[in-house]
Amino acid sequence: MTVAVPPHLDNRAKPPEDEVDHLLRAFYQRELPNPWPMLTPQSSVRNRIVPLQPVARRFPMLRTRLALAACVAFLVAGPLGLASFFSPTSTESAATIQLTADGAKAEKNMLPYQLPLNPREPKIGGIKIPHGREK
Amino acid sequence: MSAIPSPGPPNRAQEFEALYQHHSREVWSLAYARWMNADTALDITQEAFLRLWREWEKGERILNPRAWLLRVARNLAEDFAKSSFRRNGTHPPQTMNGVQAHEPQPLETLEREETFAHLRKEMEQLAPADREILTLRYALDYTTGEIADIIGKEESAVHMRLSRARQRLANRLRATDVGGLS
Repeated sequence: MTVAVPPHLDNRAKPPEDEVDHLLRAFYQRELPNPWPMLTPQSSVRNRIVPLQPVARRFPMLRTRLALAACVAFLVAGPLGLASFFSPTSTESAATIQLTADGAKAEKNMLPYQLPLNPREPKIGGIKIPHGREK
Repeated sequence: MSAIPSPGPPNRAQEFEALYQHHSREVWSLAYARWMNADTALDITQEAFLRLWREWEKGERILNPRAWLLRVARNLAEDFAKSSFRRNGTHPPQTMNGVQAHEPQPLETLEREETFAHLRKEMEQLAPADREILTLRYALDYTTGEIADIIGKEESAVHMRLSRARQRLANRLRATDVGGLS
């Protein structure tokens, strides 16, 4: 028993072609490479021109992360380094001399972190104070 | 059904060549339908086959090389679109015009080139799925059954889509009087 196949699904029967079909066939025949190029894997792997995907790197963001870590380290260590450089325990910062007429007042008016002057050491002489009086 | 192992070294080249002869045009058609550019489609086709070769060299087993090639070609076509978008914005470098005249051509040839340029422009307006079916039908002369097998659709659906795409294209060509169609 044969089964009748609808003509529109019968692969063997092609519908009559019109101008559009002819135009499309001519278009594609022109687009198809002719002759069709051969492909030999050995030579083509070496001479491939268009890499369509980049090579995946093992640590793709390593440089970026190292740069970020360096910036953070600088931001954290920078102020600490500056603070230690300008620390009040250094000798230069403690030698602040108040130039006033009264040495006692000078000691009294000294800022808390300043070391008092050694009373045995001669006061600084030869320094002109306001109104021209020498001490 | 057991997986088909990769062919050993003595048969690998022959198997590869046979696959290329049988299926390279199908792969080209899918890539062409995506980009409407013959050279780009050829690059994608060769890349897909080279990847298959590399898989075999690694000892990978591919159950259905044909389906694998078609799937890889589709992915490569999309990757090509993305990379082109990154490099050149919204317009890829090889846009939709294959007319290149280097010397004076006869009038008939010029008219035909102009017709093809219009046809290409109208086909760009179609959906990629429609272009796939049209390319397989008119470039390779595939039946609707063969097309359905490639794109994974029902044959009746392919036939309906083919008819509609063709009719839509014909209407547009007649509206612009391309190719003397009226």
